[in-house]
Amino acid sequence: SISAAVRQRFEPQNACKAAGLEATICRAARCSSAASQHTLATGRRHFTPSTRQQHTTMPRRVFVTVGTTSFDALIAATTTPEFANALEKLAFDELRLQVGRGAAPTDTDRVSWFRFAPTITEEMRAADVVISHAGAGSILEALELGKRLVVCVNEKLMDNHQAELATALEARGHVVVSTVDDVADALQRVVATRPAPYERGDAAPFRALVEDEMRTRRQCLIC
Amino acid sequence: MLYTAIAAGAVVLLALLLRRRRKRDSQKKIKTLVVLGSGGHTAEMLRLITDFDFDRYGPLTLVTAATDTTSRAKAERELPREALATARWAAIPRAREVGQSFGSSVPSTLRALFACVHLIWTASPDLVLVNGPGTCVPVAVLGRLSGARVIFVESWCRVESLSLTGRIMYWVAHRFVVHWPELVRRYPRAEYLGRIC
Repeated sequence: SISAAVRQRFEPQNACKAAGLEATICRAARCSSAASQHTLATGRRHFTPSTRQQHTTMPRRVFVTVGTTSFDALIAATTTPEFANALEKLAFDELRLQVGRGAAPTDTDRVSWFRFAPTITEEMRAADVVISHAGAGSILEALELGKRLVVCVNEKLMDNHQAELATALEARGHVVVSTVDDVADALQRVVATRPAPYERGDAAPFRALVEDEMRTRRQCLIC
Repeated sequence: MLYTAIAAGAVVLLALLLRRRRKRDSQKKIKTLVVLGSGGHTAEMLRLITDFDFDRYGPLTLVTAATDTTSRAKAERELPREALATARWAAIPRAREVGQSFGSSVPSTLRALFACVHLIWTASPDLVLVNGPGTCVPVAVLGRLSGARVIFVESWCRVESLSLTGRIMYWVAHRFVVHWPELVRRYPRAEYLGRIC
């Protein structure tokens, strides 16, 4: 089977060829085919009806990430036959697992895995749905790429402040939160619902606060 | 009793020494010291400062932990070139490694403390921007003692409770910024500025 890295590298080129453009070396940033541009802009694969005909073989992928440590329970839950059935029912073709330091899952033709990557941005970009541990970095990354996100809280962790973040985001409609046992349901919910778009913040109020602080005169003992 | 007296005396002496370096006249340029704690802290801090007016808030002193290999690279990618050209980089050793014995913790903590004193002495900042983790606390405390303004931003992932660093810095920082309004109810001095990162 074609490895994910190879597939990713050639995706923009295929889009170019399909759009009828001659591009022997299609660097994604310079590729001007509409499908590729939209992909780059939103991080989400999108094809108009005409280009979709040409791209009928684009696989739908779920990417699971556990962060820099391990989350064996999540990896185990996503490699059960029940989960594989759920994937099939929801028309997903591929499952990509980032397992960190945890136990290695079994390799099948639909499931590929790796331990770490210098940046998982590309892996997330290539996925349609992301299932992530509740780490703030992963969550923020996925939200900013506009991906549908299932956040799985690891209940074995002590001091689970990560759960607060996940719940707050769910309350605002940006993610779906689940426990390890619920992942298949959560996947179905996230596919069925549209997440609220997550806009990038604006640091201007912070700059205003700093400016205000520097202009204030202070009269105190330990200033 | 004696030890607290000595400690208090040391703090007062330190404050006086550090303060003597500060030029009391109002300057147009604000010397800024930014601590880039590793990982997510660095990413958040860079987002906050990347659009600063570095003509006014410069020259910059950027501080990383000695064992942090990626923060400098991230900063060099994201900050504007003019800011990086005049920026000074400094590294402070960690006070204690995970699992380190108590015996060896004392000299290593003292070494880290001395590095912070030296840092504040040479950088002599007017403004200290920190957002955690624990290594930023001595820098912020010494900065405040030396007369700098200290602004602490809690991490984006803290929604209902503060980190340990946050709980300490709540009393050290001049301004305390949070990313979620739920925290302002529990910590009245905290300021919620909407979505800033």
